[in-house]
Amino acid sequence: MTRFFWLASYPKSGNTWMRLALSSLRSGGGAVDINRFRVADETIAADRGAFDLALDVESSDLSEAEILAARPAAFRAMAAELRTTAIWKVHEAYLEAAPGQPLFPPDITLGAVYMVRDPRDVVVSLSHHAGICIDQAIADMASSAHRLSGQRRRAQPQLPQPVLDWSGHVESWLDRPAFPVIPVRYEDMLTGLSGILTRIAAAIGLTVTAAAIEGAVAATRFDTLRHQEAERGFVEKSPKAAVFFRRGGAGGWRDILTEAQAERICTDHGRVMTRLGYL
Amino acid sequence: MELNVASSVAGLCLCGLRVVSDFPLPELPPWVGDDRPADMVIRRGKVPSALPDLVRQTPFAQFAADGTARFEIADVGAFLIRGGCEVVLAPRLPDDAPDIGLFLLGSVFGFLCHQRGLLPLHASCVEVDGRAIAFAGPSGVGKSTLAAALLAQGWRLLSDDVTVVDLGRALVLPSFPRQKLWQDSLEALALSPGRRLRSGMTMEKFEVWQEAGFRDHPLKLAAVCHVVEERLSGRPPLTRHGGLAALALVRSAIYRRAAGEALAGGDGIFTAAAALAANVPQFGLCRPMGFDRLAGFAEALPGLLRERLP
Repeated sequence: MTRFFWLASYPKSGNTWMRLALSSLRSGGGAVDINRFRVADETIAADRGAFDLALDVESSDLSEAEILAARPAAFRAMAAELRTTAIWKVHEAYLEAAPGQPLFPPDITLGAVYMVRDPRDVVVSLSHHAGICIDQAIADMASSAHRLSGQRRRAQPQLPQPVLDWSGHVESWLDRPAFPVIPVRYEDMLTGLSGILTRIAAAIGLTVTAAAIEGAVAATRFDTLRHQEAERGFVEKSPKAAVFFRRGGAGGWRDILTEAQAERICTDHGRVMTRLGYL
Repeated sequence: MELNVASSVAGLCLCGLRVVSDFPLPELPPWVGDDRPADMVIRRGKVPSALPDLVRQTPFAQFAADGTARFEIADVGAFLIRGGCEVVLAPRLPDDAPDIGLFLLGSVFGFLCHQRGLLPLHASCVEVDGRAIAFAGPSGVGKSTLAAALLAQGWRLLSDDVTVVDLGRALVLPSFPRQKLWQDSLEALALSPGRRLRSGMTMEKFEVWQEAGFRDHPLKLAAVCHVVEERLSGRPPLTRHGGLAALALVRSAIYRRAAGEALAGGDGIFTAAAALAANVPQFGLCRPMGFDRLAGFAEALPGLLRERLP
């Protein structure tokens, strides 16, 4: 059976970079155009149109609870239409849509990559991306009720995505799925992307050459992506952000966060940060 | 099929169909046409919990081999849709809750259109310069908001969200003068909301009545504009598509397409899409994001269309 392979992460943790690298890898390691890299079977799992088509309903007329409960069925209906392994981006936590019903059903899942980044860097990136202050980003990442594209006051092209608090997100993906999950730290992508891509290629059954791996690494260097955005813009940039490919890197929080802000993040998420080697 | 409904029930009009309903549907204008028998009957009754011989099933809908459809939203009610002419309704909310009409005039009517061989598009349609222009696209792209902005310029609404096309005559069949708009659009366009569309829920999506700006007569479909948000600057607002690109756009714009393929067969839907793509100009329309430039865009759009249409 053809199945899904999820690229899961909390927002601003390397998901787009990974999608670009895999897109390059699937084309043999060639250059990628940040505005034209989507292939037909690649989308975000929260795509509203795909849900509506699969289930014969207008999700924008449904409550968030009604949508969440129906999503496993929507994924099953979509899986029945897949022709190749579908590598889809996911920001939701690994949740149950209903008791005993995982949002991402294991029976139609090949596996997942879970990308994680030092939450102090995520806070800084998130505040730029969403146009919110640092303290709001810290509060959002500490809220177990936090979700993306919440369906309250305005139309949203994506379905509501419950993400839990940052620690809850990480633990949900690392501990709960009944399918293989490859954990990837953003910081390790910076220093060893080729080894990570090799592991993922094996997991999705993609035969690759060393040259293709190196090509994908080269094609998605931060300066290359930032240069493309500076020249032509980026379709996925939030309207609230000045740029999408802003800084990249690790440890940039040291120049931005106050001591109190950094401490609060460590208080909120210390246990999981320690588990991941961030403390 | 014999349609057995009390003659005292007032007739309503929906897409040129004479509708007789024992459930109140304030969205629909009264029937003012000829004395024909009802084209569509909506009545309360028992809806079976499941249909036999299913060809398609989702958590909300079932489709049987004989073309019968069943639709249910657990907190709202259940609907049985038969023969392109009958809806049996088992509501679970009071009659004055807007939720029943929301789904009845949405997915349920979409299924009925597919049963009747009418082509429903996921589009809002506005009469601009005497031409019916459909604005198609997925939920959240701004079809209804763009239509409301055109109405604010004095143009008239034929339909919101679902546009029904009589392919044989290439006519848009006007639906009803109710729009569905979110709070941020209402504020940006200074429109007064009616009822909250999902009673008892926190979603700030409302009905908006547009009777004064409604065109109730069919009009030849002059163009379909497939709306996308302008995420990169410098793209032309209007791009004509032909051939396979136009066909793919039309196919993606068919309302409840998967259900239609179950009801009318994949060939039927493909043929309908091909006919619409071949006979009606198809454009990509890049609309500005947000509301700051919306009024100016709506003002300029008729001129852009005038340049591109015969």
